[in-house]
Amino acid sequence: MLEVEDLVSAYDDMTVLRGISLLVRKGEIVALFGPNGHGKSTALKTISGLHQSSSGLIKFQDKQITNLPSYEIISRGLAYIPEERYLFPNMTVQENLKLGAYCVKQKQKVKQNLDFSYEMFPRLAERKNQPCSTLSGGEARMVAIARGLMSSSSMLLVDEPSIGLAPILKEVVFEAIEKINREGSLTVLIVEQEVDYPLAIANRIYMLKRGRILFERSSAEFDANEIEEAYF
Amino acid sequence: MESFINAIMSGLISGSLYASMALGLTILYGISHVWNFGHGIIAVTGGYITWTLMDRLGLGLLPSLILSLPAMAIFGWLLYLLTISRLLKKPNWEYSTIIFLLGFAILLENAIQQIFGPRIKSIPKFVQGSIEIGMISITWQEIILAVIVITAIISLNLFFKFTQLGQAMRAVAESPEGAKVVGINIQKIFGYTFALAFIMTGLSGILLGTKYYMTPHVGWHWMIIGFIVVVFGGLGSTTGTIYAAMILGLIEAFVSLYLGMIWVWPVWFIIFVITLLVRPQGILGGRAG
Repeated sequence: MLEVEDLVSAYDDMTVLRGISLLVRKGEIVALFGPNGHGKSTALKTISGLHQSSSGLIKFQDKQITNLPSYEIISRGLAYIPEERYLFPNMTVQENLKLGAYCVKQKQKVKQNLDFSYEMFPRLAERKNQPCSTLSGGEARMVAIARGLMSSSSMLLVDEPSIGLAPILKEVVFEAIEKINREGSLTVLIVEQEVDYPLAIANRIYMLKRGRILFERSSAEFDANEIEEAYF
Repeated sequence: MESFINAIMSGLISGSLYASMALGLTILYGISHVWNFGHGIIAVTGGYITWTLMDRLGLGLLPSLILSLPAMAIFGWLLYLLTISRLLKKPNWEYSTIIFLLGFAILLENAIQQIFGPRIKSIPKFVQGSIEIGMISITWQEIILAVIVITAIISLNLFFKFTQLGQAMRAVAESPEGAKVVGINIQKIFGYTFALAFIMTGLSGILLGTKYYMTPHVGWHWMIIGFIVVVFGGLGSTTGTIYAAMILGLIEAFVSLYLGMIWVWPVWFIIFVITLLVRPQGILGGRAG
């Protein structure tokens, strides 16, 4: 579903991604691990069109999407849930969620997605008319994730979904991702710094270090020693 | 007592005109972060388009006003598409857009002078006569101006709250990255923003043209008032702009009444400077409106 070949991405003159290649097949959950600052977020931002690549190829559903603008990429079914959240602070939870469905044409589908979001995150239903600036960190993270799901995409790029969340919430988030993948056949590429939770739901993992892919494993084969070597 | 009450009325009317004038500037800055140094001439252009439709085509005031609004929208959209959009792609756009709009304003001002001549024009009033309610004396014209402004402000509110385009514009104002993430085409929204801002500003130019007078050069005066209102009310906050405009309008009325018109600008500037020293973000600044 998603193919990335030799992607090089830089900020000003600092090269962050030095030619990474990865593959996500339809229906998979793939996790991208790596220490902080080594390019994980940059990878997702470049794939989703928020950032320009310097060279390399990105293909989604066999069509080239390299350096297309972000609105074009999401309309093809690839949505991005950023680590920074980028919520609209003075707009209500419901307004934020509805904007997540900006590219969805059928009103019925938007309503369905909204109901699904509230079902998955009941806390958001309680706060649906509150401005996002009044939410706690965990609630804001839920809005960011639900907003990404509102787009009815076929694939999600999720950047550190559980960062700063209490362990109970982390479970909720990863269970939700696993559930949507299983029931809605949503393909997912998760970027995370912590390994345990994503490893539990992923089919395969990639390890990124200093802008390069160190290795790829199926999640069954991946073990603790490799984590230590990679991170330290 | 009577003059006190009439000062309040007069202040509120002026305030609502200033609000209509400053809203275009606030909307443009709040969403695209372009500070329009040609704001005044845009208002003047609206006035001259209406005047032309009335004078050369013999249309009535209301039809001319209504026709001039889409003309202003197209003007704004084209200006964005052909020039501003290119500047925004390059570094230092915050400055290049200011210089460009300033230069463009001078160009347009002189073009208008060439076409229409430098002499004062005014747009005739909608209706003559005045009405007295108790101690308040107010002209029908002033009532209509206020009604038009209130209608415009309510329409804007409804637009931003309930239309998809309005919501998209608010989203871009609050988080451009977030807007990109949900699939909004920021460039397209900027084009619409310029169109909307120019409609508001053009409308205000027409209204000001009926109350005061018009020359190609009066734009700078309006622009400075607009700047004061917007910065005083809080950059990017439409609610702040409206409050600021009403306050400044009332100050103008009372200062004119008790100290004389010549003291209006000095008092405005003193209050403006004190506010900025004490609360630099303006009355309601720090929030997107």
